[in-house]
Amino acid sequence: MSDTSSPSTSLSRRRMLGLLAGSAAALSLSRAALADPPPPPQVLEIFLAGGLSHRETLWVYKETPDDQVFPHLGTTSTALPAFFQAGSSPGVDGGGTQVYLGPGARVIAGATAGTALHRARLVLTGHDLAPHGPASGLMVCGLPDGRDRQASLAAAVNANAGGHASIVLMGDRTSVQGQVFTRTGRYGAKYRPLVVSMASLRAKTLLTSSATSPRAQLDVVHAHADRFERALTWSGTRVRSHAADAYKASLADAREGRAAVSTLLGGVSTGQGANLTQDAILSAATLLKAGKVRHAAVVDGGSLSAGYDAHNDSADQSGAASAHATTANLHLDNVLQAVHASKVLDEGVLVLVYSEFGRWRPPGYGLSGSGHWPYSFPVLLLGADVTRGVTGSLDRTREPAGTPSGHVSPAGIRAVLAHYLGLGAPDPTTFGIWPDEAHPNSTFASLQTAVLGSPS
Amino acid sequence: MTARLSTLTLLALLPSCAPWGWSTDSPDPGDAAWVRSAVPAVLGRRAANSSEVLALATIAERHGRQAVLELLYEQPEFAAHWSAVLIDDLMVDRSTANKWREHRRCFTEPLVDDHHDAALVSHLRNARADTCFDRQVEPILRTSLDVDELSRQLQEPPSSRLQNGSEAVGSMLEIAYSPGGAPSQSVELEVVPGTNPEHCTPFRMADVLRAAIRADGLDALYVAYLPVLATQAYRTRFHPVSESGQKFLATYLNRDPACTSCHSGMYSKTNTTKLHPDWDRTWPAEHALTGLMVDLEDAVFSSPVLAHGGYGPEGGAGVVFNTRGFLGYQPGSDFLPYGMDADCVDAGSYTSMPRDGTGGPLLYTALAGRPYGQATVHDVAEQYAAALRSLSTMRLQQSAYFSPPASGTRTANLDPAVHCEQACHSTSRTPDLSVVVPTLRDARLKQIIVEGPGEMGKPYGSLTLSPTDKDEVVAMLRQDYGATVGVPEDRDHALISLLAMRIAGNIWEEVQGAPLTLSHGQPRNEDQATVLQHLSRILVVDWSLRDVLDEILLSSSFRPTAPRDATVDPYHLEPVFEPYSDQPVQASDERNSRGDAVHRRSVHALLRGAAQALEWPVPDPIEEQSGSATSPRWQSAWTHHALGAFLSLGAPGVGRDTDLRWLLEWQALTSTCAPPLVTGPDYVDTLMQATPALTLGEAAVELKDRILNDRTLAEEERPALQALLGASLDTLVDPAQPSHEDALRAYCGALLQTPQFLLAGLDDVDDATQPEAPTPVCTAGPCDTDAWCTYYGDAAARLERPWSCGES
Repeated sequence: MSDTSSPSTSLSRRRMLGLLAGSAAALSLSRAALADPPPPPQVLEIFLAGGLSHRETLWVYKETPDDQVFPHLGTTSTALPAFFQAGSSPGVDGGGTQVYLGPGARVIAGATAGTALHRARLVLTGHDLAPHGPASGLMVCGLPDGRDRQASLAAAVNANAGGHASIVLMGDRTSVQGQVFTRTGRYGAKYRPLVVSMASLRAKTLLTSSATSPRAQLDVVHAHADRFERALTWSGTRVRSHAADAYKASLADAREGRAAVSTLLGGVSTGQGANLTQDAILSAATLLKAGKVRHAAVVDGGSLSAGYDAHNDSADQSGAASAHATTANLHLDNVLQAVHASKVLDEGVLVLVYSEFGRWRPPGYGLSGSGHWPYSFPVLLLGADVTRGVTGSLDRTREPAGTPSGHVSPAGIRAVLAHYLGLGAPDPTTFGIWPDEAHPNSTFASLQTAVLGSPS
Repeated sequence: MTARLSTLTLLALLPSCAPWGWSTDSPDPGDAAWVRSAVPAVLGRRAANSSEVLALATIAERHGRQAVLELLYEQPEFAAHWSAVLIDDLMVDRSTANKWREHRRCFTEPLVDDHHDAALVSHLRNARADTCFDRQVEPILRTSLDVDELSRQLQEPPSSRLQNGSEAVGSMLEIAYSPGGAPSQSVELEVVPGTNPEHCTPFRMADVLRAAIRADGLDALYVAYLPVLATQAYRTRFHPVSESGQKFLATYLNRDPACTSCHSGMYSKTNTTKLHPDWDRTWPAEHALTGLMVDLEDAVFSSPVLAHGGYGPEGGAGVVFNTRGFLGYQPGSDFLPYGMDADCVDAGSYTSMPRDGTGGPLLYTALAGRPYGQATVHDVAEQYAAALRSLSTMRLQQSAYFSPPASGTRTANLDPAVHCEQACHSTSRTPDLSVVVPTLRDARLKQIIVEGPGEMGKPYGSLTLSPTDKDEVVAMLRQDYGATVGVPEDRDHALISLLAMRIAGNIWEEVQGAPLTLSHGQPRNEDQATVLQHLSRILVVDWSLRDVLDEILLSSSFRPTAPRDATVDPYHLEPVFEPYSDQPVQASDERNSRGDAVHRRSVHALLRGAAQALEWPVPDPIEEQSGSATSPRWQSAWTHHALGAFLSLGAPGVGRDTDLRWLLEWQALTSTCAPPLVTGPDYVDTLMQATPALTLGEAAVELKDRILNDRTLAEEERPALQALLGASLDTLVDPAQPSHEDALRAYCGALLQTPQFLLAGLDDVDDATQPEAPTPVCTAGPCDTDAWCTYYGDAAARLERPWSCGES
């Protein structure tokens, strides 16, 4: 594990305020800023649905120490030497390999990127689910499908904060993956986050439509709903019913929470960015900065061309040039440019960028290009209290079989973020996110360090 | 009784894994509550009013609930509703973006009179794909003849019975055995259609859907749909991914090769082995003759990549590309499969579907058993047709997978103690080697036993062996436990088994709201597996939708009882609705309660239910996006999709969720209760114009009866109702007062949003408070109980049933 952060430049605004509190310097700051408690931590997570080819984007390294260029990056390589010389590395991995962020992260790592790189961390994770669907469920929720307490961070925030403290915004071509965020285990239907498709803001239109139900009408509906609830009560105990829970929560939103939902949707709009994914990120930033939500998730399917789910054109182990490198980096650049423009990093929002798995070509792989590689791939954390560095080492071959060293499980990453957001201990009768299985022998402090880096 | 069914009913009952063992202590809600739930399940609409409920409840009381179902199956809504449901099940693309405007005609505008339904089913079941449909040919396999009568007829020259150059070739077979008795005779018939093009009658999928439901032969639907899928592949070939291949895997097999390395019928693995070893489990199909379990995936797919998954070290991403081009074809002649109309299999440029094949790669060459590059959709269609035809002559082999019980005595004749010691009822999660080995071919045996499939470890212990040693272990296992049984020559029947399970699972899900399988196509727990296999056995007897519906609706799983009996454990149901309850968070969670059975009705049932209650037009499920000027939402494919209908592979619908966005969509569609199309007065207009005039309260009761089949206004409801109406409930309705109509429509909109309307699985109507002889307000059709009795009495007479429900 490496930590090359610079304390003087890696502090978030919130953290700086905290350090300065009580000192003479603090007195020069806004009295209002010091009088109010620090804003609650916020997280923006960006899910790159489809399987980002990490070796071409977030985890670029030289095949040999003498390499001057990165041939597998293909057509993008012409501009690479200057980019990499400018210092696009968050550090070295656990195996001593210098790791660079690819050109898709130029807004974070480039010479003009300011200090963002000082609060950038790559954390290696892994699992063993290669199909998109189960892998998405695991990465978004930290627990595999079917588990009682499986829930997205969005749902966990809602469960903790009540109401709609989270929102999920879907860019293009990601409707199926967006559904993963609504998972709420066996008991949490009422905690489902509001999921909004940027391609069709029907919910927003509907909420303001005169065709939807007035309050008096909903009161009649509510009277019937009460009777239905009584029918679900046996000997004084209301039995489990996911469908009735979901209906009841939606009815409550439509009846009592209409204003809150309307406010939430009011922060969502298109036309701010170059495409729907950028619109989603900018909308999420608006809601976060205004304090309307504690957490926002954006689902991006690769808005510019063929998406992240590329096989034949992505890099293989031979080092041959990858045509996919160009488009993969364009996708990532599209996302990170919007993050940069939204200024959420300046506001102390912690940003998580990840995919359901990476891509790799293991020995014996029968096709050209590379395939799904869930066993070892990075997630990117930015901003807030994140310190620059790399956690774990990349397992290039997965031989001999075993868990690659230093990796943090998806559950572990979720647990740290849940703790960062101040979520309480999980309720075993509902759901929660906690590293009870992933890291039974680790202390939580060491897990925090692995994910966020060592506090300065 | 048909020839096919009569053969089956003579079969000995072979051991079955499927005791329909629903809790005997599940309280029965009574006939009225059952009717209120069964009518929407069968017809997609509510009972028209409490009078229809009472009439049907009386019939149920006097003649049994099966009699009620028989009457409901004769209603026109039965075929209409299930057509819409089946279109979703077939994953018919409704996206106008995919240039499928012409497809709407194919699936919604029939060409053939419904009198020919039986003939059409017979044609699809028995004719080759290069023949046309001659509706003048007698549907000889679907007549009401019994076996003896049919045998006598076959002594006559076939040409004397069949017309227009067609003939039937019959032969006597001695195939069926009654329990302990002598062989019974049955008949195999092959229809050889005429060649006179003047007699060819084009038909569309709309005809096939209706015929498959009314003439009760869902197999015909799935035979006919194959070339339609092929046409889709041709028309959408610009699409980067093979949609037709994915659709075929989903609609015919319910298998995704991406999942089968870890989850197949013989083997299923989770990634939580270290923590929860009991979670690795499977409930495979059982070979009823040998008692062995059958590897259906291995039997269906000749390719190991497809059978056992594409994400292992060898498979890579191949699965995606192996399905590309599936069901493709080349133009070249004027051949239209089965004589189908060009709106279904061609948009104008379609010309042929050659047999010499240059079509898609691995997937369907594997299915068709032909070398790579030498199989076409025609081969796959023939494979299915042959497999389906074979069921009529290979009953005993068919029973290798399914054990059809005698009609009407299914539950009584199934003895759970006879068999299934290791398959269905085993508590061990990994099947015994003596059971598994004979069902696997060597390659699969090596993969599972020695190497461990996929990336998830080895179910029979960890062995580190050289390649030579691995082969040796396989040889030893073979020596100890026997040679391969049943594969791959049983591919036909494996295809049919998977298809039957897919269809039966879809029917269950439409009625009960919860699927019996997870996304990988396998049941989650033993109870789900038992129900799925049992329903599949029922289905494959005669591919009858009605038989499966009977089995579900007459079982104790379909008892929408509100928990008024405090002595009954609320969690008394088998965990088929909420399957994860076998991982109890609390001790009481091991089973299900009625709460788990509660589900949102399907979009088709909701739309039809609202439309028929209010006398609105039922929205065309494949309507274009534009809709009408007055209410574009009502017929918008996008609205239907937002409410849960399948639109395309990329937009499969929201299932049965009821989140805020869904509720807002529904509210936008229904909250004003405005007639969606200008078609004349609706039911609210009827109430406004009633003579003598109704009070607002009386009109509200009529509306509630129409929409919820409930004629009571509870005390706690009255204040909210009065506030909504803006006037006393005793106020007389004044047709000249727009506010009165607005008030009634607002109440109507409220009722359409209630859980009683949107959710199924629990009936909370207290029949003790309902009037014994309601006098509803109607304009057309049967209205009071006597009228409904007469209506259903007439239907019973047409069925030659001596049923009655009125005083007379």
